[in-house]
Amino acid sequence: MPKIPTSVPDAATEAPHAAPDASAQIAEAVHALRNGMNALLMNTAVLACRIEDVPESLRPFVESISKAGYRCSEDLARLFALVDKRTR
Amino acid sequence: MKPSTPQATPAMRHSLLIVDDDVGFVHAAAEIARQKGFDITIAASVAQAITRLQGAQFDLALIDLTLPDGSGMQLLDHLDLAGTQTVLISGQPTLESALLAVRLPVVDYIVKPLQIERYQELLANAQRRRLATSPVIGDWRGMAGGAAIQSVRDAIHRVAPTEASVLIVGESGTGKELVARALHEESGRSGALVAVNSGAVPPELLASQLFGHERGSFTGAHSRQEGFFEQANGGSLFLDEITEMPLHLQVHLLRVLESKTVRRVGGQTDIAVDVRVISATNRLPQQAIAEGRLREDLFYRLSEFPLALPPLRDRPEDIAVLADTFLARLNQRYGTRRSFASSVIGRLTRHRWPGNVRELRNLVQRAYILADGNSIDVDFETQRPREPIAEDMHSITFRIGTTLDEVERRLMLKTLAYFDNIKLKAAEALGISAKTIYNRLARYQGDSEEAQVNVNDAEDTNLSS
Repeated sequence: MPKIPTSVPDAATEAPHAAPDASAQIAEAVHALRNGMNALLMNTAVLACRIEDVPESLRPFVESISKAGYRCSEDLARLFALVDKRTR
Repeated sequence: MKPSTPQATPAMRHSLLIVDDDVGFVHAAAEIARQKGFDITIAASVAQAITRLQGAQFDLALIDLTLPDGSGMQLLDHLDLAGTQTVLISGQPTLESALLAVRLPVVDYIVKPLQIERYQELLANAQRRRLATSPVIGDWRGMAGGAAIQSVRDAIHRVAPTEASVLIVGESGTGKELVARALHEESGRSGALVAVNSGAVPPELLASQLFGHERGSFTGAHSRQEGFFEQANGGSLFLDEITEMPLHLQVHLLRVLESKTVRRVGGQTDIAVDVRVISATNRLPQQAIAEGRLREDLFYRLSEFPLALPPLRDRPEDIAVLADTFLARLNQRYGTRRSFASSVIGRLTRHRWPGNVRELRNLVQRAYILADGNSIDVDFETQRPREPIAEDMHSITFRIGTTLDEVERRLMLKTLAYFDNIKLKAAEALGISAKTIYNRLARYQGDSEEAQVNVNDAEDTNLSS
């Protein structure tokens, strides 16, 4: 089972003195980034799986996108952990 | 890509259900699974998924937790968890839904982005772990049962190899589509079994889906499309909920059945088709005719061999056997050794089972999930899904499993409606600022028509109103 992320408190549930909109916006941005990254990685995987259909001159770029996608994915997880730690 | 109408899955191929409204992800995930030999069914909402799940079974279900019309958790009750590897995915950073999901022993939970290695592992596992199909969900012929079921089984065996049209009549949850599948499989016909839920397809689309259409025959018809009759050529076409088909289409259907030819919408030529038609309804056919829901001439054409499926309450001798079978499958699937507490079978037998076999299966699944140890008890009051308490303008209710986002959205919209869309009053009542309401409404924009109305209204309303 993968590690479950901890929560960014939502505006509707956090203490009144906190900045509700900022927290909600962070949560929303994380959600959007994860969805975007999800689509990016999966589409890159389609290209990688069918690399023989990609012209040879373009194949290095598919590999680069794939590597960059993974790197971004890891960075996003790290960023989220930092944000989560700060907002706890 | 499979058509939007649910279709039966050929017996030997693996099947994947993807429920997600992110088109970019869905198409890519579908493409990868297709290359691995999966049949793909896609749904973009809870409602669509429930329609796709009717009578269908999947080896793997990939379900986004946050869907436009609710939570992916709502689908757990509609899945055969013993036969379907269920994976909930989410990008929402809310702890509650994640914890709720992972607490269940029968589902996996994955935080987006879904890594390709993990996805390929899920696909491979689903292919490896495919179990023998359920005696109820997958195959009527192997189903345990008393005299009533034996009679149905005999009828299937006798009528399947013939050309007779079969009308299956039975309450919801009695397994009508499974009987249709058994009829097709025993028919020896080489073509596919194509299943159509006549009540689930918008009436304006049903004609083109059944009969096909030519390019340009109507707005949006960008290419020529074979209809379900053509797809079922040489095989069987299962028309579920036949009494929900619009009457004008019933006329058209009758003509196709009489002539054994089909003409695509916008087409000029008749195409010969060899299709064995199996239909079903949960209404009494004579009553449906009297109510004007079913044409009498079509009824006689469809019911050359009528087949009645008995409700579960009329065959109490089957209840214990079925309950034990469902539990055994869950134990096998998850490597457990759970058993029913001593008083359970008696209580199951006394229940009326309005939802029939499907209700029994779901009850066993929920009891299995909620069991603390190896002894499973069944509490009808807490484990039966309840109808939502009727809401009025002063109240709002939520099902367990509703995401906090959805709770917040519905609460805010309902509060706004209660205060005649005066944001300041709604904000005071909710204990938040009016600015927060405006921010939320902007976020909800596009989520639903309801939200759209409020957003438009918000633009015209002064903050201090």
